[in-house]
Amino acid sequence: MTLSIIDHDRAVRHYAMRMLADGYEVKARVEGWFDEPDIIKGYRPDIVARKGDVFLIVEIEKGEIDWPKIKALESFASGRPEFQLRLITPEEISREITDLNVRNSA
Amino acid sequence: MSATPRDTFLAAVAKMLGENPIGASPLGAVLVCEGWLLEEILHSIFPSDDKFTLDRDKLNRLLLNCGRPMITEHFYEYFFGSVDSLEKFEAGVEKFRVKAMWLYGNFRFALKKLGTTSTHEFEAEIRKTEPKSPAGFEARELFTDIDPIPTADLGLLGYLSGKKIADLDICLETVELLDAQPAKIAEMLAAIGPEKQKRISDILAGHEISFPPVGTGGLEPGTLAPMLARIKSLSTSLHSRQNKAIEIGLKNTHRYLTLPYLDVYVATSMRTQQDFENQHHFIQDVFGDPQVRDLKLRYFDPTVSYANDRITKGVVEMLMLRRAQVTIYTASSEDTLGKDSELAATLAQGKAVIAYVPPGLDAKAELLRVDHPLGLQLDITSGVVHGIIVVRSAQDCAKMLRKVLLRERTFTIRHEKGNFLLEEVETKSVLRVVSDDPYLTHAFWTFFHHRH
Repeated sequence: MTLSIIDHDRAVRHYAMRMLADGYEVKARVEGWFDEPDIIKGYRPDIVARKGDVFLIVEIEKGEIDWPKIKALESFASGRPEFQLRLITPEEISREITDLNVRNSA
Repeated sequence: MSATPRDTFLAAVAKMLGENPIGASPLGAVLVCEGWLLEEILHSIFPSDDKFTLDRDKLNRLLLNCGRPMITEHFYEYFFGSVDSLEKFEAGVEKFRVKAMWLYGNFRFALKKLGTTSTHEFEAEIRKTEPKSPAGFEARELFTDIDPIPTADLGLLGYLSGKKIADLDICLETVELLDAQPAKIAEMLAAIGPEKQKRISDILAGHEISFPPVGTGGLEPGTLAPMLARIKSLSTSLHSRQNKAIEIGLKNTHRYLTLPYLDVYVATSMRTQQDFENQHHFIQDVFGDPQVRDLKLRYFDPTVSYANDRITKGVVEMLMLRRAQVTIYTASSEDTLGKDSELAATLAQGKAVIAYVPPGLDAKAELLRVDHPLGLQLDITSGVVHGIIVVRSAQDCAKMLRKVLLRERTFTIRHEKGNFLLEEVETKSVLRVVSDDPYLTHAFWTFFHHRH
């Protein structure tokens, strides 16, 4: 399953705002609204959120095409206990978007 | 003192050879014979004051004595035929010079190339400059491969104009969060920050929805629920329209990628819904115009094509530009790197650019027509310097498009500031340039052909 760029970007906005409201300091790839996360091992994650000493890297997978980026982020986080990696799959997003659409049309 | 027929003739020959025709001895720089022999040759051409008798042998004898190659019979026939007056000879020279500038950007090389080549090669070269029958275009099927997108939704395909939806999504997320936990409204707004709250307020105000720019005033369950419903409705509608537009745009892109041929590329930059609409109407006006409708042209309309990311879209557009014969460029008050690069890339590929400058941008039109830095570009395969055709209306754009594709344009040559300019008669656009500076010309062609 793959995620379109439109749905991917919509998901990034969704998670970024939720984390911001939840008290995280958020850097996200949401043009005009957030500062961009720093590049990690050649890739820019979708979201990097910080609360205290803990950093949460959130990556919304578009599909198998993202494997080099995922590998790089996994490798980065594995040696750093202060960084947690949260991967969100297209299937999860698909359910989330369905929920969003249901809610939007409710 | 007025010029004698002999002076006029020598000036015309000098022009044909790419020499400066001004001065007492126009052929002085190239003549390899002694003066008395030139006199004898001229006497054979002008046996008396009112007689002009030129044939290929006499012209060749003159060329030989100017250190230039002799010309073939087919060359002479094509440009001079049975020339029996000085005026006709001058017209033949002008015809040659126009083709020389058009094909080679160099008079001397053109004489060597066209004047000495075989009939077959000569005809093949000349054919590139001759009018083309519309029959080949007219015999095509109508161009109906591309699906339309509702005009009001065209902007939803834009990376910049699509931002409107992204902004509304942020507002929706925010209001949804506030509505879900009304006890934490102040806390969440503080986390979101004053800058974002002000932006959310401004965006929602654009949809006539009231949201406090600062503080929590008016935000309570009773007001949040209807606000949320309103934003959801707006967002759902926009997303649904965007999804449909994208679906059509993606399919159109695939169709464009596999079209058997493409005539025209339309270069433009579209940021707002208005840009999309203006561009779309312009494209419809041009290709629906009776002056080109019968040609059944296939054109790349960027307003109805979509790709999932900018890089893919860029690659698709590069291919479209490469395949098309002509680029139509729509000027705007500000320069934009993308479409300006497309203009330059088209010229560098040796193809025509028609620049449409909308009403009100008179200075821009003049800039493009006369002295825009990108207005002249080198064709990287031939070394010929190409310029832009500037038009001011969709109708004129259609007219010039037809003339470009059917090679029906007419030209005049003028000399200005040390350069020969080949000017298209109707639009006064400079389409080819040849430098009159021998030093520059020598360095230019030496290094153009130089290969490491």
